[in-house]
Parts: sequence; C-alpha cells; structure tokens
Amino acid sequence: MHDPDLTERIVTAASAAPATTAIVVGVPSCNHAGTVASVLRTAQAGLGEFFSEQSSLLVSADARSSDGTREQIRGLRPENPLLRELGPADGGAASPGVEVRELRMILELAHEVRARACLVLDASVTSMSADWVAHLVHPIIDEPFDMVVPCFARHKLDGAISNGIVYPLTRALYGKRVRQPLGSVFALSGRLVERFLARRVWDIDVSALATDARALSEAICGEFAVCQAFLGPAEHAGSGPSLDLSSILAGVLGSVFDEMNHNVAFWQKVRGSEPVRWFGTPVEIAGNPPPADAHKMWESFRLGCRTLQDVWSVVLPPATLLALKYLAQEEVAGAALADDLWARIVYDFALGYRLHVMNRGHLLRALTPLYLGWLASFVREMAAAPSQDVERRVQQLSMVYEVQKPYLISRWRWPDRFNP
Amino acid sequence: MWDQIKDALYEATHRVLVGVASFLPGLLALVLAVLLSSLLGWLLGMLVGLILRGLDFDKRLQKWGFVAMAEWAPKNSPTLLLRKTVTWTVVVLGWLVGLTAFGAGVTPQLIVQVMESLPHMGTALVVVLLGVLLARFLCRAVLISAVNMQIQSARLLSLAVKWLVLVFVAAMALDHLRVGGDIVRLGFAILFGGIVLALALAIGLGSKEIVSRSWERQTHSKTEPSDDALKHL
Repeated sequence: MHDPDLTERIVTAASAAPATTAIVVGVPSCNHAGTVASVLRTAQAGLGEFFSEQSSLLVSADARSSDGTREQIRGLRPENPLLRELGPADGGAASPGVEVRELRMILELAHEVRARACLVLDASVTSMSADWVAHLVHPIIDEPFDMVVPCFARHKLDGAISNGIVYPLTRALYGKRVRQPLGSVFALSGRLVERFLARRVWDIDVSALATDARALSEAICGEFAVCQAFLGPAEHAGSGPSLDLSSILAGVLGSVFDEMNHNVAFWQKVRGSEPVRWFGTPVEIAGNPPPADAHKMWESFRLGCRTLQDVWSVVLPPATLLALKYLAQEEVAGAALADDLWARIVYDFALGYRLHVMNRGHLLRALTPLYLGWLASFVREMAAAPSQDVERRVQQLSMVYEVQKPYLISRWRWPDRFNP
Repeated sequence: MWDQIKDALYEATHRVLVGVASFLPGLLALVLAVLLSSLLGWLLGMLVGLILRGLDFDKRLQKWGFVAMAEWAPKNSPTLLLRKTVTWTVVVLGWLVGLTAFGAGVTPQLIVQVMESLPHMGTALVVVLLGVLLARFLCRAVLISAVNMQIQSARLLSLAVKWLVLVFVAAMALDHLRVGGDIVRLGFAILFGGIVLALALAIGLGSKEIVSRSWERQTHSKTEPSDDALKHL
C-alpha cells in the first residue's frame, strides 16, 4: 500500500471492526450508482440470514465514482452499522484499472482483521440474491476450501470467451475443471488472502475483466483447495460505455496469457485434468436464448482471412495459415473451424504474446476475427441443440485443448525449432 | 621549324606526364583508401555482428519491446542492420578520405559541406526512422481495428494512413535537409490539402447516401435490440 492515507483508512476501519471478524464482504465499485446499494443491501441480508452467529464486516471500496455511487453508499450507513467505506479521498477522476486497486484494499482489510473468509462481489450485478453469500462463503467457513468460484446459470451460447478459450485453456494448463473462471465474484480463505498479499498478486497491471481468472490461477498454482458454487443467473448493468469485443478479448486474454508466463514451471508439469467439487444445485435459466448471427460472425472471419494474413503470419505457423485460407473459402453453411486447429491457434497466440512478436495490443486484437470464426462454427453447430449437448460439446473442446497441450509445450520450449 | 614542333611536343608530353604524375598518387590514394576502408568496414562489421550475436541481441531487443525495429531491419535482424550500418559508415568515411587525397584543391570544399550537413542528415535520418516505425505501427493498428469494425476496405484505409505518415515524414526530413526549400513545403501543403478536400468531397457528395445509411444504422443500433445479443463473457 503506497498511499499512507489509505493505509490509515484501512487501519481505522479494521480497528472499528469486532475483535474477531470471521467474514469480510467487499464490494469494489466504480460508477455503479444504479446497482451498488442493492448489492450491499443483499449482501447484508445474506450475512444476517445465513451467518448471524459469525461476526462480519461489509466493506465498500469505491474508486472515485463520478455518478453518485459514493452518495448511494453513504445513504446506507444509517441502516447498516457494519458498513465500512474504503477508497481514495473525494475528488479527482476514476482511472482505468482502479477496481483492481480497490480489490487489493479489501483484501488488506480482510487480512488486517484476520478474517476467515473474504467474499468479493461485483457492484454491477442486478440479479444477486442473499443465497449467493451462503453458497460462496459456506465452503470456506464449514469446509476445507480456500477459494470458491461461482457458476452462473446462462443461456447455452452465452459466455463464449469462457467456453471457447478461458475454460478449456485454464483446464488444460492447470489441470482443474473450473467451469466459469470469469465469474466476477469469488470468495477466498484467510490464508489465501495472506498469500495474495505476500506475493503482491494485485500489484501488477491486470485487467479488471480478469481479476477472477488471475485469482484462480494463483490459487491453483499455490495448491490451495478450489471449489465451485452454483448460483442463479447473473445479470449486469453497464457502467459507462460498454467495451467492444476486441477490447474485451484483449483485456481478458492479456491477463490470462500473463498468468501463463508467470506460472510456466507449474503448468508444464500438469498432465490431464480433474473435476472440482460443486456446491449447490444447478439452475436452469428461463426464457429463450438471445439470437446469434453466425453469418455476420463468419463474414468477419472471412474478412480477417483476406486482410490480416500478414499479421497472422507473424504468429501462426504456415500449416495453420493454409488451413484457415481453405476454410475462408466456405460459406457460413460450411463453417467448421476444427477443435484442434482452434486450440493450436490459441496456443500460438499465447506463444506470440510471450515472445512479444509484435505490439501485444495488436496481437490480441488480431485474434478477434479468428474467435468470431470459431464462434460462428460453434453457433451453427449448436443453435438447435439442447443445453446439455452444448455443455458436452464444450467438454469435448476442452479435451482437445488437453490433447494439444504437448504442441504448446514444444513450441514454448523451442519456438524456433518447432514450427510446423 | 622542326625544333619548334619538337619543343611543342616535348612541352605537351611533359605537361601530360606531369599531370599524370600529379594525378596518379591521388588516384592510387583514393583506390587504397577505398580498399582499406572496405576491408576495415567489413572487419568491423563482422566484429560487431559476432559481439551482437554472442549477446543474443535480436532476442534481447524483442524482450525489451523493440519489436518494430526487428520488423524494419533487413531479414528481421537488428544485428544485421547494425552490422551493415557500421560497414557502410567506414566505407563512406574511406571514400571521403580518398576523395580528399585525390583532389586536394577541389574536394575539401565538398568535405566541408558534407561535414556541415552531417548533423542535419543525422536528424533527418532519425526523423525518417521514427516516421517509418510510426507509419508501420499505425498501419497495423488501423488495419486490425478496421477489420474488427468489419470495414471492407480496411487494407486501403491502413495503406492510406501509412502513406500519409510517410509523406509527412519525408516532407519533414527534406525540409530539415533544406532540400527543395519552399517547394517541398508547398508541395506537401497542396498534397495534404488535396487529400483532405478529396475525402471531404467524397463523403459530402459521392458517398452521402452511404454515410447517411451508416448514421441511420448507428442510431437504430442504439435504440433497437441487436440481432446478435450474445454475451461473450
């Protein structure tokens, strides 16, 4: 903690807390005036309903919101004596990535009060229920787990970045089948919080989109016990202008690839994967799935194939480029990007990121048309299939990532020599 | 009469021989200087190449984030670029020494002029190098962004940006070298103004329907649900 004023605030908040605080629930926020009060109220209700015997602390850490978020939080103080407010002094503007700093402050406070569990919630969620607190905190308080990752009910084609890249990649790399690594909320045990702070996990530049994936990989590599909790659907309210697809991909994959670089020694030894324990019961999401235009996605892929060959040729081996060239000749009816080809493309981009073959922002954004090509194939194949089949298909893809892992290891170790 | 012819021939031969005698050492000195500088340049280049290869310079440079330099260098090797730069610098210096020795009376002026313009040439070279790197960076950034925005003429757009930056850089470098004087400045202003005017006319007149359709699409996409409402995260 570099800001002495903030350190003082954390110490003050900690000293005002009960002597033995078992649970800290933290809500980092930045321009979430519409939702933050509801999230804090629901968290408070969850603590009161399920953990009334445990001493707890509700912490809001706002990052200089300019939309009245702070006023919303302060308005809750009279009805909620447990609420503590962290964050920089008033004034100034919010800057990108500040929520990561707020997250670190929450963890510092949890460490200061020696909390057994620290639950981090997402201030933009509009569908949270009090049960979430129980499902996420219970495995840490009553079971020997160090990290609980949520599994939200989703429409079958939603979460495509997670389904097509982050879940299969995390599973193949770290050997744990954590179904939704980008859950945006998570619970940590006291000893895991201590490790994160000791290793300065949040001191490096990390996209706010992938703090959860970063926490997960750190926990797995530290050999902490990880489990999953089924929650209901997660609806989010936007805060400010929404990011375009290539920015989302760049933000998420940049952090995931950074983690790969940090944990090479761990993941190169991992073979296969094992299931991770679940808590709660799966919930089916109501309503029809949102429409997905495979044709538009495929056309984006074909446009990329026509114009980005020069950029891709810096990252992808000739055999892959040739396969993509043939594939781009197909119309959307023939869209079928093979699983092994897709897995190798993701691995090649991870390697290109590591080797810094070009500006990393350009590299990650250049993956967007390829991702849309994969997504078009996936949507075309699964549009009429039931949810269970889609899940089976994602598991099949993940298995291919595992099968292709030796390719990644070979290229990672000998990038010049092994270039098919 | 014969004696006069003989004297004239003798004097002419003498003058030619004196001329050749005074010309030959300078020529030999030039040849020697060029040969020696080429040899020295080659040896120094080899030495620099060996040292840089020993240091794994190309990979280090990539690790330090100077990716664009590797792309710009011949055969993607900054080592080769530096090796050639050293070799050619020594060769050019050898030529200057040789030329000085060859025409001691005439060439010092040239040497002085060359030496005086060296700082300008150095600055212009730096401007050109940075401009080329910037042009490549922007070209790629525009290309990728345009493809991701599904603009069909993404390549054309990126090439336009690249050449705009290159033309701008070339004008700056020539202005710095004081080559062409006001013609370069005027030429650039006319070219740049022309491009902007052409674009404005194209959008204002030729493509007004496309632009209005595009605006309509944007307005509709803000108010109506998209036909592709997948959540990617």
